[in-house]
Amino acid sequence: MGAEKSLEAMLPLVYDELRMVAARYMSREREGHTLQPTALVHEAFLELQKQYAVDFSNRAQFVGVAARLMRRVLLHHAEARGAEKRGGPAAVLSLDTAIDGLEAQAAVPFADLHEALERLAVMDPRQAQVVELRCFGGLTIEETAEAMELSVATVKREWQVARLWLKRELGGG
Amino acid sequence: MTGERWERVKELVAAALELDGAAREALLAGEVDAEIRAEARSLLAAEDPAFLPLPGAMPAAIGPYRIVRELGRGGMGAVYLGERTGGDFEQAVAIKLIKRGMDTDAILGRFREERRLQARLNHPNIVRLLDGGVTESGLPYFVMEYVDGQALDEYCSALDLRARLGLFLTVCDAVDFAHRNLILHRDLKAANVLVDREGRPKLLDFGIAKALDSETGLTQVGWRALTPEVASPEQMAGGPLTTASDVYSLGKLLGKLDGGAAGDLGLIVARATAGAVEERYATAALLREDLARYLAGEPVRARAGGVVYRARKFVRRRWKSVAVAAVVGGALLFTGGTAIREGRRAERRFKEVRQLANSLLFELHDAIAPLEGSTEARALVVGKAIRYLDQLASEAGDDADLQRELAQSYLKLGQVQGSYFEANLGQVGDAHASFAKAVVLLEGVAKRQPLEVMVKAELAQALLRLATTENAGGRPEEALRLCERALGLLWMPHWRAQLGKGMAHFGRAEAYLRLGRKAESTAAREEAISIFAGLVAKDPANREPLRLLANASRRLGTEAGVARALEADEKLAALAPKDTPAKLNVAADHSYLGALAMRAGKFAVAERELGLALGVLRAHCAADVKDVRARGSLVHNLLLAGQVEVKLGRAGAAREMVREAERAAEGLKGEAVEELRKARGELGG
Repeated sequence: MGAEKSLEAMLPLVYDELRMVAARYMSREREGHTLQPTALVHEAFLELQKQYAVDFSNRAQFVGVAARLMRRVLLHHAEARGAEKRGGPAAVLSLDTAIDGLEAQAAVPFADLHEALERLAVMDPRQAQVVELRCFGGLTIEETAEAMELSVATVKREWQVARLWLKRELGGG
Repeated sequence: MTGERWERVKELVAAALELDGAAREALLAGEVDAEIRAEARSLLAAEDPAFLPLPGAMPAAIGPYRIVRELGRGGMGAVYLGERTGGDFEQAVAIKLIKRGMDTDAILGRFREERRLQARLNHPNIVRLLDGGVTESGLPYFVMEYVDGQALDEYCSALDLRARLGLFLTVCDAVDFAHRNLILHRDLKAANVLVDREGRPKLLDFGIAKALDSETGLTQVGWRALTPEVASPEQMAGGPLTTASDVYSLGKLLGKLDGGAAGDLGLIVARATAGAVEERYATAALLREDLARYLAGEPVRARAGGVVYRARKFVRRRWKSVAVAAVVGGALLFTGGTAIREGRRAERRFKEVRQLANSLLFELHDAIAPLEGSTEARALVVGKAIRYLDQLASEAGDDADLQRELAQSYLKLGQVQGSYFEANLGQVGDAHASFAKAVVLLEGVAKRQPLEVMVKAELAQALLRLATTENAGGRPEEALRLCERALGLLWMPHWRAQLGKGMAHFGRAEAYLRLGRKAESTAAREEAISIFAGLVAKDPANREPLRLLANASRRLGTEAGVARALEADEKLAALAPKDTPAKLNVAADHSYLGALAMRAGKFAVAERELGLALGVLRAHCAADVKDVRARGSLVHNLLLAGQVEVKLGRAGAAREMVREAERAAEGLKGEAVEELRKARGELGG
């Protein structure tokens, strides 16, 4: 996928930009939206995408690639910070917030969540895609349905079962 | 399990999730395939509402309350219907769960304050705030009385105008009650006024907006609790709020309900939503009163205010013609002696405005300028000043003294707006406009008073200021012309005139530089330097020649030049220890010397100079968080220092510098970020 390759190449450059743009973004209130931090990073990514003008054939393709990259960005950040104390002033570091949020919700370290998702993808790629779009793209069920060109009911089902499956995989310890 | 069987499992689980208890069991039992059934059961057993809930999922319980269903969702978070079951009582409550990403500790601290104040808010039309806390996952929540009802605008859609206004009167009463107990609402929108099944309006969210408002002025990532539709102008500007701010919101609310009414009702709405605070009803009670008068068919106050106000404004604008015509004509334009009295009052007001403008600009700015953290305050001063000056200028007529005074004010304003002789807010275009206004005013006076020497000096000064913006704005030929014109006017021996000559040569040097005529540029600069040095020698305590000497020497761009500038800047800093720009200039000189040393390969020297610069910059940026320019400078210098560390073989220290630079660059745009990106690339990481 040509588009993905160019985004990948940009990743090291834009990585920290994302934080800055996202922090700025979080300071703007969006009435009626309850956005997750991952969604904010995703939105920040969208803004940067405008700058780099990478060509995508449709929104779904872009969103899919972006969500995947977001996940890699978060994984990279999670690995990097490791045991290191989170420094810096009280500024909202969206990447940290996103990871913390997901870890709190999943009750496991980020890397474990990532791995479980990899396993899910082997078993059911479409389902894993739904999870990725929701968790890392911050899309609602309706938006995911639109991006993947599926019905809302289908997406809802995929999401519900995926959650259970992941919980079972991770909860066991 | 994969493929088709897995799809079956998914379908089964999804269907089972829609059912409860016995129905669910029945469905599962109905599945013939044992493996599929077992897998489905196993998955259903893993159900955990707290796992990856994401938006749209509901918690089972918040604090001691069981969550029944979601009532709604807003910008701050979701609202749920909750039940407290304990012993023998059940109480329905509404729980507002604040979304992730807000500053929990601060919110709760303020909430506790609010709750204390709200203990007084016992009113039938105000929803009581019952409790508050933090969930296990760290989200703050507020618990309120539950009101089963509709938002005010929805409820009113079925009512006629009189009925709507009747409800609104009650709302005003409730707001006024809160105000008398010293509590503002701050977010009075239709969604915050519910009408219950008995037709009683209930106001929601008193004080919650305050608890959620991040008030720390210095934080850039601050979240403001307001609804743009109903927020008053002062609220949008982040200014102090009063009862009148709530009145504004009430006015907006009334506007929504009145169906576009004109006449008296329209005037009431207009008065309540006036942009300027002093033109509104001061309290909700006054608004209520006027509304009650309207409903009773009596004359409303909103109408009365307009005419007198407009007349006053008219006379003020025309005071000269009114007063003169009255005297010459021997007749009065208005009834009785009002015209002349109005005229005199207007003249007094005129003088007041003039004094105000001067004191604003000169005194206030001079007082603020040297202090740390002054950037924002100075921006406020500038805004006010522009308005006052333009108003005065339009009324100045032929008054030469006034015009000269105004010209000085415009020059000062322009300096504040942006000139490279002083620390500035970076707006060259605005400065150009202000300087041009000064030139126009002074040219007029000079023409009418050709023998006035001081006027010539003032005009020369204005021309030079204008020249700086021409240079900065990319028009060096124009700058050159202005500087040469100024030189022609500055023949007097007075030291200020000499200073002006020095500045004129400096301006010429800058212009030649931009035109690529290096030799002439250097010659002009040396001229300027020798004039300034001479003035410094004559009067060492005079800061102006020192400052100009520093600037001129620095612009030579040689080690000797910058070292000389440093000497002058250090003297300046010594003369005025509290002066921030002076300290920053010393830092800039060290930085410059550092950069020159780097270019010459003298890395140890560079390290020392950059270290001195960083010392000052770090301290300043910590004290004045809003100074974007200084932060950009800090980032730039950190990156330079990083490069020096690399040259000295200390990669670890270099990375430290880059990291510090990244932190400092948070929120910056433009050049600093560009540099950062390049540096990161070079340092590989």
